[in-house]
Amino acid sequence: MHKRSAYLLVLAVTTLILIGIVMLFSTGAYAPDSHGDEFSFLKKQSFWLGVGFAGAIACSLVDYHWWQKTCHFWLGAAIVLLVLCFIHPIGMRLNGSSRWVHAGPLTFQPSELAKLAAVVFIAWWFSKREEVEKGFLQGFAFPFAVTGVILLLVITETDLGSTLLIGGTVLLMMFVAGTKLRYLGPLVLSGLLGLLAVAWRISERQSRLLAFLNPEKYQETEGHQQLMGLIAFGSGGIDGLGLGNGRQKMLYLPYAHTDFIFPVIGEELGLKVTLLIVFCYLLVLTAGILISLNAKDRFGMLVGFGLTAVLALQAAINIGVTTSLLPNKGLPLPYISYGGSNLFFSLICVGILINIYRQGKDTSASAKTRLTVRVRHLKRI
Amino acid sequence: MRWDAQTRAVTVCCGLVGLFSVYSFRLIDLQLVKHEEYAARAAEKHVHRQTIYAKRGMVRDIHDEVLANNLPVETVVGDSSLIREPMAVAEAIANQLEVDPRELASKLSSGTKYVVLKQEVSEARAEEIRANLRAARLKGIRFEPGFRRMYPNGSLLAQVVGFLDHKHDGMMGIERTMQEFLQGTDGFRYIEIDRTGRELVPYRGLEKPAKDGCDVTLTIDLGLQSIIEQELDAACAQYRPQRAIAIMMRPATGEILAMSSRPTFDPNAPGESKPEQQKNGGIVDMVEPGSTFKIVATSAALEEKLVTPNTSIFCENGRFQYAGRVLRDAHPMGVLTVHQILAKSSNIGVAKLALQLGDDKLYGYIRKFGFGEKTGVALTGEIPGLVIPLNRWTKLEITRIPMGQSVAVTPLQLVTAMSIIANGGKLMKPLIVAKITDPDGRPVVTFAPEVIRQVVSVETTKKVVSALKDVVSKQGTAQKAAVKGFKVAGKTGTAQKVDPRGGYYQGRYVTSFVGFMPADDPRFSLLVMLDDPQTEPGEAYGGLVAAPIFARMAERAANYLDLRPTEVEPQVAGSANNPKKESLTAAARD
Repeated sequence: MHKRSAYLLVLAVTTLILIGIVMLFSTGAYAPDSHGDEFSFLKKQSFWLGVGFAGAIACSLVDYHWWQKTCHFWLGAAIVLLVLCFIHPIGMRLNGSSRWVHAGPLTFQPSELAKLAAVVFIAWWFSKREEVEKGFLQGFAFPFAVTGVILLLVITETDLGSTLLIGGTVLLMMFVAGTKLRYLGPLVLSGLLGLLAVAWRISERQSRLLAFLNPEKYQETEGHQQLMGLIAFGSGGIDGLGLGNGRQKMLYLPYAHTDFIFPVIGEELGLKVTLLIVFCYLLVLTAGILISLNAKDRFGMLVGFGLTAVLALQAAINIGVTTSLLPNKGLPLPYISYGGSNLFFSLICVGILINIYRQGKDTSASAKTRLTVRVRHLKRI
Repeated sequence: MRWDAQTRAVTVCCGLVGLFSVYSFRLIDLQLVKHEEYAARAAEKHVHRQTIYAKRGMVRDIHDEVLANNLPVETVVGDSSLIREPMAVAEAIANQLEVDPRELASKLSSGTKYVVLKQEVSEARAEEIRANLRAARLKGIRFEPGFRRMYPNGSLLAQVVGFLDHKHDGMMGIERTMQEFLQGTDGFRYIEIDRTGRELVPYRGLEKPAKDGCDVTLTIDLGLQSIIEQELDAACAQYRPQRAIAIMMRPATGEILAMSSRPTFDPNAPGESKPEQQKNGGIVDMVEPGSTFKIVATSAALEEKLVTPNTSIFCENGRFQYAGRVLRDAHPMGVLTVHQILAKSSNIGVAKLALQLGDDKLYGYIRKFGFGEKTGVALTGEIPGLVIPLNRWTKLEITRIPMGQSVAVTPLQLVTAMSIIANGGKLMKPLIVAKITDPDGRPVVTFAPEVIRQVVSVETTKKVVSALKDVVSKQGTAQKAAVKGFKVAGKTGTAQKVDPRGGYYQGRYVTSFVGFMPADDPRFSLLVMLDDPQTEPGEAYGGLVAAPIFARMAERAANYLDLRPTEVEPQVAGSANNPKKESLTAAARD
């Protein structure tokens, strides 16, 4: 099973990327900010796909322990970039959120980097010493405090989706690493309550929270997007209306090419393809977990698990939102939604996972490690 | 199994697998189970029923001259839910719409999805606005096609053709009576629109085309109509009457060739006129006809063979005492023949003819001539007139009614009655619509001439015509009605104007002349009536006021119809106009 896991992972990701590119042909022309060039999104996305592909190959070749060594750098870089989001000429404000930094023609979401940094940091922390997870301070308070800085920055730029995603991933990693449940339990509870409190205070979120419970009632305002999403899914049926025939993307459904691409797929390609997509994410999940289980050391196992969890959680939140099972949070669907930073980061994740796979315990798989560029042997496992 | 990191990872994995399974079920629920429901909701959002307006039929005269047609226009509609900057949009379109931009902006920021900004914008203007909006990249303004009814001839024939109300339904005249044929049936098509309201043409659905309205062809001849109206206008300028009415009819068929009344209005802007300008004086107002009504009693007495044209009647030298009241002639006369009674319009003479007939027969003939009931012409607002029922007759009616008093008729009834004499005694139903054709020109309904009844015999009419020819002669009351080259038959009428408060106005008259031409082969009968003409004192008589107008109209109509003159010598050559004589013999007076 483990032998095949990397192939399954690549197959699933390739399928998702292909669906994403095809859907971008269909939705790009109708997006309000396409400025009349129906291929402008496609060009940008292709660029990031190329960059991401190169990055993934590089990551699959570079020994994943390089991340362990450089984890402090990534953590620092993530925090600096997150702060830069609030500083005017570099940071960019869009739709009331400061989630972007831009350099020249490129814009980038530091929260994507923050995900990677958090995952690598937690993995490093819990693999540096034996039984570090046992104590309260070492096993819980300190790592949480460090990631808490990131979470605080992300939440103040009003990106609740990413906060939830990063926080959730960190908690799952700590759980897997062995932090005692009596520490984690109250944290999960208070975290959820805190999130709810913040959400309640920001009126926009508050109405969104209510809207998800009853999209019909709020259909003229906050519930509109989710209701339009439901209509798109429902009217698609089993076979869909046919590629390019979706009506909801035509300005009825906001963000049809980014966060709400899934309902458009449901409308145009039908239940068959939406289930295929869910299945692909299941493949990514199981393949990623298999890879991490077979990682040759604890760091590899934790990084592999963390990256898998980030991808799976992100897909889960997006699908939950678009099918109106969760309150409306702006998160893209990995590999499919339009958006450069996310695509790039998601491809990097695949690259790192493949490298972990190649150095795995399984002998047949580890035979391939010859190609791995060993940056430096680490003393300890 | 040890509770180690691997086990915990698998646990988390299982949890996430469970979550994705829930999503799968959710998707199946949405896309399979609730598909129909959501498909209907989607259709509700995108699919709109668009009305395809039927083209209203055209109204034409007998020679296919267009009297009413349609000008394509567009209604400008704003969808304020799509407009972020009302002021910018308002400024972009205010100039072309000729509306105050601030007023527009307030309409556009009202939040409603459908605000009519301006109706009846010409297609060219709408195209300009669209170009402006495209250039400025503004949205939220839509255009709905429609039409505006156009009456290219303006006030010509306005009261007959009528006009439409704001819902494009006929309000008056032919537009109203022929509404069902003209309006057609609106069609529809189902279209899908995007959120800005633009149609997604590839997804056009079920379509039922509109059935355009039928075209209506009138019996009116626009050439004759303009002659009539020009002369009426000239007469109005000269006499400034309260009302002026002219109706021309083809006696053999009952077809109305021209019909007009003053005051009038412009049907292109009906809102700017008063109701009395809009009404068709020929059918909605009743008047006491005066002496023109004498043809009824005279024809009846001849038809009943009580008298011959040469029977002598003593006219009491202008003073006839009957039933305790005195009946006078304007010009006292001694013995007159029946022929002369009509020619000279003797009140006493015609009263004596009526006395020979008796109440029953007189009443019967009045009704047989078509008075007291609607003619049934396809126009709005026709009234039946007023003939006092026989059981309410006092002794006086038999001397009053024959000379056109105590009886009220419409001008159309009067010209129809005169057409009976012109048409060998047959009462024809007045026709205004010749035929109705569908949009492809195939006839739907054709209105054939309809004989209602034979009122009097041909012999009788010949006798009456002979007398009516003498009316338009030196001996008659209306030599001014003579037309060079033709024999004219007709009868003058001068009735005292009825005061609605009871009795009669002193010195105010309804003057009329109704006749036909050529007398022995009538091509048209024509009524001219002026209500309360302003003349020199003592000149407000049918023979002086209405007869010359008749002559002018008839002469131009003869030219227009290319009638061949029958008389080599002018009928009244050398006869000087003699108003004194006219006034002496003029009409019904108490």
